[in-house]
Amino acid sequence: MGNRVVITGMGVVAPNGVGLSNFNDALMKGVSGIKSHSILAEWGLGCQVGGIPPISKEEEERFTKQYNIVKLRSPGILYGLMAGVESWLDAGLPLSHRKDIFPDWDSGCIFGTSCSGVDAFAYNVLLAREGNVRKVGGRIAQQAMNSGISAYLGGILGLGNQVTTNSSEGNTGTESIAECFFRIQNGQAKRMIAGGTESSSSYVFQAYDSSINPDGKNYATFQEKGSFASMPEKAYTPISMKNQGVVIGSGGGALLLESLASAKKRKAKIYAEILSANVSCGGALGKYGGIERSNIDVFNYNLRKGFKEAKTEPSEIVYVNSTFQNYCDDREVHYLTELLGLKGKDFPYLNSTKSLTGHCLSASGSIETIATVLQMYNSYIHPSANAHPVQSNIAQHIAAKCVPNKIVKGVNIKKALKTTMALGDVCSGIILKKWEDG
Amino acid sequence: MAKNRLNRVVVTGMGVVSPNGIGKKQFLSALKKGVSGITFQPEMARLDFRCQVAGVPPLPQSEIDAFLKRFDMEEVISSGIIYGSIAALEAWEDAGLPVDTNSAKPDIGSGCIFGTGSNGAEATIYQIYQAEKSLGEKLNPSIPIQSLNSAASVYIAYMLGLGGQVTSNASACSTGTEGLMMAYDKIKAGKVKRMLVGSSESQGAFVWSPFDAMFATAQGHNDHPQQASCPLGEGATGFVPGAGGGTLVVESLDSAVERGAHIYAEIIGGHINSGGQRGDGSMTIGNIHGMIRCIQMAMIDAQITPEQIDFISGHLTSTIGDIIEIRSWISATGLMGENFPYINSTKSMIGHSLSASGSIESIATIMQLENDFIHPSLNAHPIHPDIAPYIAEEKVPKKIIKNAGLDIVAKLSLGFGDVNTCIFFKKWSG
Repeated sequence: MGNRVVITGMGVVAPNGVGLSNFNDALMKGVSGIKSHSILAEWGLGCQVGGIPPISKEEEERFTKQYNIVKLRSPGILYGLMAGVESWLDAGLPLSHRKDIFPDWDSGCIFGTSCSGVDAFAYNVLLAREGNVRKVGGRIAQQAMNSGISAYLGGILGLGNQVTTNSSEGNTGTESIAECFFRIQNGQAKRMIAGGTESSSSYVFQAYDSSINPDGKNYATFQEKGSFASMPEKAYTPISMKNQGVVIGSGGGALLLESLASAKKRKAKIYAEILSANVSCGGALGKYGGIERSNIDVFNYNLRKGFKEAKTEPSEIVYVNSTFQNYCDDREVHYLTELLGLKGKDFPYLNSTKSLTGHCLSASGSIETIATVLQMYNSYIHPSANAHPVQSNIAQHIAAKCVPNKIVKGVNIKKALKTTMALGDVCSGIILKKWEDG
Repeated sequence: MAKNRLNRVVVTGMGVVSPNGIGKKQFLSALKKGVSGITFQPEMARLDFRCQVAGVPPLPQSEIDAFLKRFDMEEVISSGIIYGSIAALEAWEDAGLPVDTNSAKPDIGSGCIFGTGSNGAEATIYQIYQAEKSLGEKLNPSIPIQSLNSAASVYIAYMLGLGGQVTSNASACSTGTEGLMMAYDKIKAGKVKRMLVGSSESQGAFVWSPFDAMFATAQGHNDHPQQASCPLGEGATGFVPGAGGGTLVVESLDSAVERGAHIYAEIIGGHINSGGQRGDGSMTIGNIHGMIRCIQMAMIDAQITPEQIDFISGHLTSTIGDIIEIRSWISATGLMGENFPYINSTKSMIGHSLSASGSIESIATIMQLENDFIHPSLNAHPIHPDIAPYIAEEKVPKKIIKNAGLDIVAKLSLGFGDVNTCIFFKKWSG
C-alpha cells in the first residue's frame, strides 16, 4: 500500500570511520573505534574506554565554516550535521541558497537524539548560576533544545517538509527510519532524512556509567577501571558476552529515504528498498518486559506484522543486524530464532556492529542500518569483534559460523532484517531488500 | 493493517497541568475567567535575569508524592516528567480507559508520543553538580534516565502498560501540536487505534536562561507579572517563560464509538512543515511563506474554506513574531478586518511553556469549542499598531465571548528551527 520507499543516500560519523567510504573500509577490515580516552579516566568512570568519532579540530572548523555555523558547543549536533549533509550530497541532491525564498517543500527530516544539546545546556548552567546569564549568548537556546539537530540541518539544506526530532533511547535511529518511511509511504513527503546522533559528552558517558541493570544489580556499562587501557578494542564483547556490560559510543548517521517514483525520476543511485518498518513497546509489564528489557510477545507480534507487510517469508532473510549490545544478547537470539523459525546452521548471518563502534545510543540504529545497507550493497558480512567463543545460551540456538570473526565476501544479501530493542521496553524492526531492479 | 477507507479521528480524553490551573476543571474555569498564572520568580531576580516573571504550575508537593507513590516511581526529580505523567494519567482516566498496574499484558492498540524540549534539565543539573563535587563517585542510578528526551514517554508507558509505538518528539515550540498531527496521521492510516499524545516542559531558571540571554523574553514587566504576557498588544516585548504539561487521548472514531467514550472534538486535518530558514526566515524567526503554506495545506487537508474557520487559537507569544503570524493568516485565508476570525492567545494567561504549549493550548482550544466560548486574550488592547489596521478590534476578545457558535477552530504552533504545525478541530455533534 502507498508509495514504495528506497534509500538513495547515506552519511555517517562513526567512532571507527568518519564518512561513508572510511566507515565501509573499517567494517570490511573489522577496525574497532573503541579507544581509551583520558577524559573518561579523569572523570573516574568505571568504564574508561569508549567510541568517539575521530574528527580533528581542523575538520570541524572546515565544516562549520563552510555551512556558516557559529559557536557550536555540541558535538552531537556536529556529528548529525556532518552525516546529514553527507547523505544529501551522496543522494546527488543540490545545496540550496540561504537567500532562496522557498524551501524544498518535498524534503524534510526526522533526526533523533537523546541529549545532543547536553554540552550547550551545561555551558548555560555554569554561567547562569553565577548571575552571568547575559554572557550565555544568543546561540545556546537552539543547541540546548532537543530539536537542535533537526533545526540546524533544516536550515543548512532548506528543508520545507516536516523537520523534527524523535527520541526513544537506543531505538531512536531505527525509529526515525520507520517514521520517515511512513511519511513517504503515506504520500506526505518525497524525501526525508532519517537520522540519529549522540554527543560524545562526558555527561552522557557518566550517566550510563552509573546506571544499574535490574537483573543482578550490575552496572549497565562494563566496569574495567582502566584494565583495558592497552587493548581497548578487546573490551566490548557482544555475542560472546565474555565481559559484562556495555561500552558507550557516540556519533551520527543519516539515511536519505525517497519515494521510488522520485528516485527514478531523478535517476538516483538506489542502495536498497525498505519493505516495512514497525515500532512498538512492551509496556514494561509482565514476565518478560521491564523498563530495561523487551517483551518477547510484543517484539514478535510487531515483527510478524512487518513480515506480512513486506510480503517476506522469514526464511528469506540472509542477514540480521540486531541490538547485540552485550546485554541480553542470548535472549535476543532466542527471540529471533522463534520469530524466524530458524535454528542452528539454518539461521542467517548475524554480527554486532556495536562490537566495532560501541553503543552509540540514539545514533546506533542509524549507524547500524547504514552498516546493514553497506553490507547488502557490497555483498559482505563484516566481522563481529570478540564474538567467539559464542556465549553458551546462544550456541544452543545457532551455529557459531553464523557469526563471522573474519569478513565473509560474496554474500548475496537479498533481504536483511534490522531489529533494535532499547530502554523503555521499546523495539523496532525494519525489513530491507537489496536493489536489483537496475 | 492497511485499510481501504481512512479512519476518522477524535479526541476522547484530556489532562492538563498549567500555570493557571491543575487539572481539567480548574483550567477550564481559569480560561473562562481569564485567570493569569504568571508570577514573580525570586530565583530569576537573584540571578539577574532580564525577565523575572514566569508561569509555573502551582502543583502541591503532597500531590506529587501521592502520585509517585501510586505508581511506585522513586525519586523523579524532573518537574517536566512529573507534569507530563500527571497530565497523561488524567487524560487516560478521563477517556474512561483502565489503569491496571498489575496487568501483565501490554495494550497493543495504544501508543504514545510524548514530546519535550528540556525535561532532562533537573537531571542534567544534578549531573553537573555531582561531576564538580566528586568525580569518580557513582550517581544516584534513578536519575540519569531522567535526562533522556524520551524519559516522560518511558514513565507513561510503564504507568499505563502501552504496547503500541512509544516515543518522544521534539520540535521546539511546535512540539505539542506536531505530536497531535503525527498521531492523527497514524490513526487515520490505520497504523494504530489510539494514541496518548502530549508534551511537557520542566520549570526552572536554567531552562529559561538561554532565552533570556538572547533577548527573547519579556522586558520591563517585572513589577507587574500579570501584565507581562501581552500577545497582540502594543506592550509586547518578549515572551514570558512557562512550564507545564498537557495530554490528549486521540483515537479512531470506530474505537471511541465502540467503547461509548465521550467525544470532545473531531480532528479534521492539518499540516506540518518548515519554512527552511529561507527568505526572511532564520533559526529563530519564521519564513512567512512556510507559515502561509502550512495554513493553506492544512485547510486543503481538512477540506474547509477560510470562511468556515470560526476561531483561531494563535501561537502568539508576545513577540514581534505575532505580527508575522497575523500577516500569514491574512495571506493564507484572504480574511481581514471584520471578516477575520476570532483569535486569542492562551499564552496571555500562562506564558510560553515552550514544548508544552502546543498540547496545553490545543486542550484550551478544544475546551472552548466544546463549551462554545472564546476566552479573553489578556493585555492585548490597545492592539499593536502593526496589527490593529488589519483585524477588527473585537476579534480579539477582552472579555469572554459566550455562545460563540464555534464549529471549526484552528490551532497554530510555530517553533525555533522555522517549524510550523496547523491543525483543525470540529465540534462533535454526535
